[in-house]
Amino acid sequence: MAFGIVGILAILVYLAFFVCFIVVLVKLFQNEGAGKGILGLICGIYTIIWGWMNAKRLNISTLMLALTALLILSIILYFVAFAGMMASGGLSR
Amino acid sequence: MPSRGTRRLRRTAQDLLAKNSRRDSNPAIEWRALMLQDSLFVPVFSSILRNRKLLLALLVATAIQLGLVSAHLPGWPCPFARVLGFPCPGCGLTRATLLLFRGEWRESIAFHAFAPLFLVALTITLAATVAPERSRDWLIPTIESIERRTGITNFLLLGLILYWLARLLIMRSAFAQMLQQ
Repeated sequence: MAFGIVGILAILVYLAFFVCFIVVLVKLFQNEGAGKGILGLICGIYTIIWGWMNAKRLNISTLMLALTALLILSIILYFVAFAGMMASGGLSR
Repeated sequence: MPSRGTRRLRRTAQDLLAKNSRRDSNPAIEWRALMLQDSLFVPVFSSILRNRKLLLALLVATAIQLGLVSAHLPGWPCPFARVLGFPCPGCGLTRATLLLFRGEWRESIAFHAFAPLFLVALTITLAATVAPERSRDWLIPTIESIERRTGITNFLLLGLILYWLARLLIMRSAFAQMLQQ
């Protein structure tokens, strides 16, 4: 039951993260051109750092805050799922 | 009465004449500036290298990512792989770079062929971050000049996209299996 809730929550978080990421990526393409846009597609960390550095200018502070919160949440959820799998013996390292 | 456009043209011509008649003008520098101005390709890498704060943030994030992945812990969650179910062009690059660090060249290139280039870019980024201003003043314009003349970064990015498409379309199951390891 707990795994089911965590799973649904994870799907929702990843989906929201994906949408926010795409919005920032589109902004990156529009403002910096195709070269840096492709770089942002390959290296997602660059997109986030660029987003934060230009958040005030582009008025996307709230979006960046949401994106970062969702990123942290997705990592936490991954840890929870990982710990759950280890506890149930589903994963042997 | 000359029109606005004619006046602007005349002013530009006068400015150019004044600039060319300057005694201290260096033909080599002017030629280089002209070459850069008329070049076909827009620099990508060098414009990132100019921003030291961005470089520092990128290096810290990359170091964290490499550390997490080498410890078998979850790092950057690729939004494309998680939501759409297929890997992005950069998926596998961290693990391939870690394999390179261990000296496992064959495995690294099999994992992601662009890992050696990524390592070169990482080294240049590190150099541009820690180098003093004088060295940066030489390094960054040199890279910019190469980028503008050859378009190397643009071609490499295009190559990366084509490589990703080839792996996705031709070796789809092997690609997915490799990344799930």
